[in-house]
Amino acid sequence: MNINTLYDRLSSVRLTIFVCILLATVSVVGTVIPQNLTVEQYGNLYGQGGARFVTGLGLTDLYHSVGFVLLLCLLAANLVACTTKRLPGTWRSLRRDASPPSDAAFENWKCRESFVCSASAQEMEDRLEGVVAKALGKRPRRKTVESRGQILLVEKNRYSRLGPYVAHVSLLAILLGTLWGAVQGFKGGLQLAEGESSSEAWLRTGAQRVPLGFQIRCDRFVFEQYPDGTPKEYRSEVTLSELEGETIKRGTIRVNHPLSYRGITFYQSTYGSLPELKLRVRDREGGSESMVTTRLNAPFLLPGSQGDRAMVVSFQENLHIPEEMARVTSFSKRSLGPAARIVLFNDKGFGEPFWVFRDLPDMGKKTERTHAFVMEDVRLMSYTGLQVVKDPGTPLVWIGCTFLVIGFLMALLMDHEIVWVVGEVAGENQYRVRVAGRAVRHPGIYAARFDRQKLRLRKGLSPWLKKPLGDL
Amino acid sequence: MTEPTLIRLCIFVYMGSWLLYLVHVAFRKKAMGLAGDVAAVVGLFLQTLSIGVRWMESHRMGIGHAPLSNLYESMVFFAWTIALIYLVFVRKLQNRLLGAFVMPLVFLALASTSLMNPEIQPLVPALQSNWLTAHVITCFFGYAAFAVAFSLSLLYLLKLRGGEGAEGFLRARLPAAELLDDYSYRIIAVGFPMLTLGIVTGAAWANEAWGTYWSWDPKETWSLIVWLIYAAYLHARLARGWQGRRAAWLSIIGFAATLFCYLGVNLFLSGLHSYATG
Repeated sequence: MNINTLYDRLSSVRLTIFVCILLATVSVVGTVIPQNLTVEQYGNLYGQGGARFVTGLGLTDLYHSVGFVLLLCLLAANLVACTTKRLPGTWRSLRRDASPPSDAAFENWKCRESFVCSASAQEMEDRLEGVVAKALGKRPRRKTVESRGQILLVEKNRYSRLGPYVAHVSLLAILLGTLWGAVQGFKGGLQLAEGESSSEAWLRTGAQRVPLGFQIRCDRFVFEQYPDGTPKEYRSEVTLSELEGETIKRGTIRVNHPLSYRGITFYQSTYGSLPELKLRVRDREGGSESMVTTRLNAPFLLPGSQGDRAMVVSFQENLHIPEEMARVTSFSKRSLGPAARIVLFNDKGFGEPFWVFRDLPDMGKKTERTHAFVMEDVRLMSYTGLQVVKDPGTPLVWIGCTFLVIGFLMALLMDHEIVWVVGEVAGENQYRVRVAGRAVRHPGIYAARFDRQKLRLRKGLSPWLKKPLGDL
Repeated sequence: MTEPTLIRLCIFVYMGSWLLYLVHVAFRKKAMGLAGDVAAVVGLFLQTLSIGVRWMESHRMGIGHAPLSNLYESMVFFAWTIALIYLVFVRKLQNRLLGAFVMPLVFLALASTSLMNPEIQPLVPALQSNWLTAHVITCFFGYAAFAVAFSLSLLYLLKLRGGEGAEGFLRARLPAAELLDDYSYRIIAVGFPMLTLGIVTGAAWANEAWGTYWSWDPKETWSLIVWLIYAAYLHARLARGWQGRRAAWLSIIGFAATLFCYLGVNLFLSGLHSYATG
């Protein structure tokens, strides 16, 4: 296939239809198979074999798969080829008017009519234009006077022909904006307890962190409900400050009301509560004791030791013992109250994790661990979950969207119509007026409109009319 | 009168309009066609009233919002837009057989609301946005336009059936095939920019609420599928050999996809639009 054939194929409307239908069909698959689940979840849904099948074909992240992206590239290539191929021609024909149809072509137009007036060329030269303007609701955009008569051209919505190009270029802009955002931006998350601050966000994919370049602190998180319990508002009151500590500004983040700073936008996404634990830790051998205030996954140094540390790895507000376990344990009740799971570790590795209960301070006394833990107090701190997004492509996307709609309105709702009126001397005191009109996009509707225009023309010409000719 | 009573009344008025259109078509009685129009106008008026009553009622409850926030309210609005587009359009087409096809869509949509929760609910935080009204109105005008275009495409295929020549009962009463084809294009040409606006306003809203203008959520994806089908339809009319019959089939498939996008997604797939279920 040589380059010209390829270009022709790429710019064809048939390819557009094909790509649109193919994209639609493939997209259906992605809504039927849930996207981006874990291997186990697919296993539960489809069985082992089915899970291997959908993962192997890349159907679990269909819209980001190579095949789908290639299909979008084909669409983009189609848009580019179509625009570069057709726009110069359309532009040229907009710069100059088409020549009137020849006599033979005139007879081929579906919407046509002719009238014979008893008038001279001089008499009609000035009057015809007025009659036509009144009948068609628009002044002719061109009038050519020749020796045998005159030619008028009435054109409506001439520039609507640029509509498709506006729409297609806008679509390309949207695709480019999305690409730009994917390459230059990031999407991440951030969990902040009240009073806590952070200068980095976790990326949504993987365990990577991105620096924000400034700090954000959550001063307060508020959750309001309607009387019936439906959520009414989630609100984070935050303070932004420089890394050195200087306050930049305060603001609130609500659902539908994000906060932006230096190209990074924070969105209210989730909320929850995190424990803050007060632990009394005693070194059993040395006897030294310390009070520690800690949160989840925050290592702290143990008293009387060099490199030994501990960390709370999980927390239950009220630990329940399952029924089958209750029979084999010595507990008299099954709800044990607040419980923290703690692990000791040093450079050599981690120890076996164990539970510490607030309401059972004597538990664990008999163990051989080096340190004894007592949970003095626990406080639940609400935290806010923020979505952190940097997307420099969005302005281009919104410009594209705006012009996409404008392009569609131009192309689809402003009808391009052409009417030629040719007046010429047809004999002794005979002046023939021939009219032919067409609208490429909707010939059927136009035919009905032309019938009305014809009647108005006849009325306008009636002072000079002898008898109508043609196919009335 | 309360809002549910008004809706029930509307169902009967629209049904009456349908029956009048049927009589008009069957016996070629012009007066019956006009009576059908009048009934449809009365139905639309009563329905507009019911939407207004519901809106005011929500304000009286202290949770005032436009009645466009759940499945019940959207279905009422869907029926309203179909009736409105039909009434604007029937004056141009001058053929009431279309009414006999469109009116059932209107009263069936309204009747289906009896299966839904009619309670006026407060807006959850995600719905508290100025985009809500713009998004829902544009989407549903698009959907309704496709519904009317679907009826026209059906009529077009009926007109073509059996080839030229033999004059069937329906065929004799239908406008020219070319006119049906043109008008269904015409209405899709109105619906398509509307749907585009609906998707764009939805994307702008999602970007403000969640920080992503597109997340391939099933509802989003299905709206794109519908958009792609009608994009194919519009291009089909430009390419030779795809006009007429094939374009009519695309319009029918497009409306089926529209219905799935509106109802099927909420019934069969889970996603971000879950509040439109109840």
